[in-house]
Amino acid sequence: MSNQLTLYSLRHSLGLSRQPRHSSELEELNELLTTLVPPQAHPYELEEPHYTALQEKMAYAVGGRGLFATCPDGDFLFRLSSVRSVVDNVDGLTLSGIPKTDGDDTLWTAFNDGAIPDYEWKPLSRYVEGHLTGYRKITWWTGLELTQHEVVKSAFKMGRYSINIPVYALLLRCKTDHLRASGAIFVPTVLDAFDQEVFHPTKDDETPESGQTISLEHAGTVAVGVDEFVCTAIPVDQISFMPILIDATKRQGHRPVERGDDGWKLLESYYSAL
Amino acid sequence: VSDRKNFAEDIKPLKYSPSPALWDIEIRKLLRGVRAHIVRRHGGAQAYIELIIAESANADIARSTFNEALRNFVQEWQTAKPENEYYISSLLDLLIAYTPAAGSVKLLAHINQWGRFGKNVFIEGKTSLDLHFKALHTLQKYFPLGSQNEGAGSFGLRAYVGILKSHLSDPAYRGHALRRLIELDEVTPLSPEVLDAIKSDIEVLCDIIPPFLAPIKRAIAKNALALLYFHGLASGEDVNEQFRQAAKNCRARFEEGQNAPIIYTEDGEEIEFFFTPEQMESYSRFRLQQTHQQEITQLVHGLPDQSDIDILTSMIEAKLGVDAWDLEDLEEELESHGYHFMAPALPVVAPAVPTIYLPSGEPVPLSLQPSALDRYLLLHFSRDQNRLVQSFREKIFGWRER
Repeated sequence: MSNQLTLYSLRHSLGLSRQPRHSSELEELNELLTTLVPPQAHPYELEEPHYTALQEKMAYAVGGRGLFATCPDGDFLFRLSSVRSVVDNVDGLTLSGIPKTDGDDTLWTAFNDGAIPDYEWKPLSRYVEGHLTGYRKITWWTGLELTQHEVVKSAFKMGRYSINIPVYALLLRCKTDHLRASGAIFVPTVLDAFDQEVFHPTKDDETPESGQTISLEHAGTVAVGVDEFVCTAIPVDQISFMPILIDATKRQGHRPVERGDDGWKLLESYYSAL
Repeated sequence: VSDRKNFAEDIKPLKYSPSPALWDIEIRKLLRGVRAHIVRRHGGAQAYIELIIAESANADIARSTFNEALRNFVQEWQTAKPENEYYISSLLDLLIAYTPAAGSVKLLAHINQWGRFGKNVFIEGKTSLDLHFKALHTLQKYFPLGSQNEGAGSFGLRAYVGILKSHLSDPAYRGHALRRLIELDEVTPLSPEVLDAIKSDIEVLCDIIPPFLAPIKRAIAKNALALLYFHGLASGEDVNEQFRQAAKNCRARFEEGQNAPIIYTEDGEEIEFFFTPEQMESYSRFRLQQTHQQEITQLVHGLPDQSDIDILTSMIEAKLGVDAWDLEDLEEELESHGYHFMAPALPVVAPAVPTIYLPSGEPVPLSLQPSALDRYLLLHFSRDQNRLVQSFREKIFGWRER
C-alpha cells in the first residue's frame, strides 16, 4: 500500500540524483526529521514546533537557490495565494488602518474596497507596501494564466490538492519584464519543495528553463502539468491582483486527485517512472 | 516515529459528518499546532477552518456545528491557564474571525485582573508577537462602535472603554487606544487626552487621523483635522510627514494647500482643513519658515562649494532682516547637519566675522554686507547680554544665600 513514507523515500532518492548540488542540505533536512519530537518519517504533515526547528536550517529558511529560470514569453506570471499569505509577507498595509491581525474575511473585503469583487486586475501597490515574499522568502508562480472562471481547475493543474486551495484568495500576476530584468526567478529545487508531497524534481544537468508541476486535475491519473517558478522578493508595484472567493460552491463540479491512498499510489507511479 | 493517522484519514469524519464534538477535537488539534502543515501554507487559523468548511460534504452543517463548538470552547476557556504562544495566538485569530460571545468577557476580565494579556504564555525562542496588542485588536472586533445605551448591555463597552483609557499612558498602546476611543466617540480632538498624546509622541497622529477619513466621520473631518494639525504643529515636530503617512495608509493624499492643508480621499472627496483667520496666519507663517528650512537643507548638502557659501551668506543676510528667532532656527538646522555657525571672536582676537565650521572642522568666514554684519552683531551680543545678566543674577543670589 502506498503511503507518505514511500513517497518521501522515493522523492528523497530522486532529489539526491536529479539535483546533486543540493544533496548535502537535503540530507541535513532529512536527518533533522529523526531528531524532531516525536521523530517524523516524512515532512508532509509536520506540526508547529517542527517548523521552528526547520527554520533554523538555512536549507529550509531561505528558498530560491536553484538554477536561474527563463521567463516564459507571456507578459505575466501568475500565482494563487491566500489573502493572509499576502498580508503576512509584505512590508505594510494601506487598508485605512485595518491591521494585519484582522480576520481573513475583513482583509479580503478591504482588497475589494468593501464591495463585491468586480474581477478586474488592480495594482497591489494601492493596498500594500514594499516587497512580496513568503515565509521561506520565496513565492511560487506559473506561466499558466489564472482566471476567475478557471481558477480551481488551474489550481489542480498546478499540483494543488483541493485542501491547498485557499477560500479567501487573491490571484496575483507579476510583470515578466521585471522578473527578466531582476533575475529573481529560479527553477524550484528539491529544497524549496522539501515539505511538499506533490513535486516534480527537475534534473539540474538538463538545465531546465522552469520547474514543472504534476497535474492533479483528473481523478485516477496524474500527468505532467504546467511550468512553475520560484521568485525571491518582488516589489509590489510589479504585481496586480484580483480577489476571488473560492468557497464550497466554487469548488463543486471537479473530480481531482484527492490526498490519500489513491493519490499517493498515483504519485508513487509517477515518481517511480522518473 | 510518529504513528498518528494521516491527515486525509483523520479529517474524514469531520468532513462527512460534522458535529460540535468532532469540531471541538479539531479546534484543539489546530491550537496545538498539529495542523501547521496546512495552516502555514495559508497563513492562519481562520483560513484552515474555512477550508475544512468549504471542503465538507455540507458546508452549512459544518459551519453551524463549528460555531457551536467554538462557543462552547471559549466559554470553558480559562485564560489564566498557561499555554504556548502559538495556542493563544491561534485562539485569538479564531476570536477575531468568529467573535464567539464569551470571548470579549474572557479578555476584558483577564486584562482587568492581570493588566496585560499574554504574560502567562510560554514562549520558545524569539518572538515578534505582541499578544496583548493582538488581544486589544480582538476586543476591537467585539466593540466596533460606541453606544448611547446606558443599560446593562453597555457594561462590556464601559469596561472596554475603561481599559482603553488605562492604556493612554503606555506608549506602546497609546495610539491604538486613542484611535479606538475616537471611533467610539469617547474622545474628540479637543479632549486633553488627544493633546497630551500628540505632545508626548507626534507619531500618534498616524493612528488618530484615519478615523476622521472614514465616511462616518467625514462631516466633522474639516474641523477635527484642523485641530489635530495645530496640536501637531505646536509640538514642533514634522506634522506634515505624519499627515502624509496617515493619508497614505488610507490611500488618500495629503497636500499643503495655499490657505490650509487638504486631504484628497480615494473616493474623490477633497477635505480642506477648516482654519480660523488666526490659524490661517500661523499656517502661512509656518509654511514660509518651512520653505526656508528646505532651501537651507538643500544647500547644506552641497557645501562647501564657494558658490554655495555665497548663497548661504545671502540667505543669512536675508534672515537677519526678519526676526531673531529665524536666525536661531538657521543655526539649529546647520547644527543638525554637522555645521557650526559661530559667533565672531572679539575684535581683539581677529578675525571678527561670523564663521561657519564645516563638519571636517575647517572654518569658512562669511563675508556679510556691513549692514548685515551690524545686525548680526547686535543680535548676537544682545543674546550674550541676556546670558551675562542671567549669569550675574545667579552669582549674586548665590552669594546672598551664603
